[in-house]
Amino acid sequence: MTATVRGTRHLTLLCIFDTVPSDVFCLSASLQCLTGLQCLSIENTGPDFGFSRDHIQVLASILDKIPSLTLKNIHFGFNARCSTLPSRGWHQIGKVLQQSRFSQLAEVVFSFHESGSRNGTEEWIRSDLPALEERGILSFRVLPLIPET
Amino acid sequence: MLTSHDPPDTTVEILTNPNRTIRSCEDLEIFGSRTRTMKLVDALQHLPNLTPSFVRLVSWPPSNRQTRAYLPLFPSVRRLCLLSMRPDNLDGLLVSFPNACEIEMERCSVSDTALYIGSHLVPSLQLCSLELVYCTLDPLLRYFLRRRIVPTGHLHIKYLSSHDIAIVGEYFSKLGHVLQDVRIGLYYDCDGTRYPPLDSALYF
Repeated sequence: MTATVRGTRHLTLLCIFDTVPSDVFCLSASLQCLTGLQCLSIENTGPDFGFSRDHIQVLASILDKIPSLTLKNIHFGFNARCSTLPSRGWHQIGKVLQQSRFSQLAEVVFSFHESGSRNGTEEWIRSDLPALEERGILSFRVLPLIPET
Repeated sequence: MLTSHDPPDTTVEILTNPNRTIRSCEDLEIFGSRTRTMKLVDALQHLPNLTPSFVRLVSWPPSNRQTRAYLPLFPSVRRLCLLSMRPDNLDGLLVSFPNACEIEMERCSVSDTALYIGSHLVPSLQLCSLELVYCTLDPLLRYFLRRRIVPTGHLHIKYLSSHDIAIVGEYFSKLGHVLQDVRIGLYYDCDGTRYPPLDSALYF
């Protein structure tokens, strides 16, 4: 028997990461009502301003408010060189995603722009998200280099 | 593609010219004019054989009883784009496009009086896509909420302002269980502040 999921399949939040939607946004916009959500994408469309650990906390707070029982894919898109991403703090996301309500999760994708230290960035994130790494659902997509300004 | 960048009088002249050579049109773009609306609407009556699938109305002025009465029916239109408009009766406008399944509105707003008034003349639109770009969503989105118009495919709200988050929340709380694909872009508010500021995001 095939289960039919009715409701939102894809939610994409495009934001400038120093103003990412907060708990207040999630509640005011009633994102929790998007039941049936299967894909969540949070993408930074702004310039590479310097993503910090504080921003990771905001991402975690968004995830905490999102309906999760049907969520299969999460994509974090950074319009940033990987060398500018923080080396620690990703565990805040892992802490939320390792909850049993995210058991349907099949893929968590990080995408960012190429720079010299790509492997280091991947390692930082992988080591901060051991539960997701163990499940084999972490993946990385590297975008072309951002032209120097 | 037929477009009316020319001054309204010229456009009217072209459209009403019995010797015009327009035989078909898939995309129809009409720039409105506050002073020549009736002439443009009247000119549209001369295009009965054109069956555009896409219509874009640009800077179309608020309709009045006359223009509502005379705006022709466009049953062939599947995709409707309204740009820089503030219709005072959205029902009166949409009734001309009963088969539109994709609606794009950019830099649009509606007045409170444009809200759904329950007119039985307005068919229930079966939208697969609704795209709202740089729009003042309250009360625009409230119109779609009251008419329970839900895109079965794609809802894209681009440049959502902080002032409009509440109405988006109301829309989601009533119809969120039906939405399939939602894309939201936040933007800088006009006063230069961006919502929500990071400190409030962290410490609320």
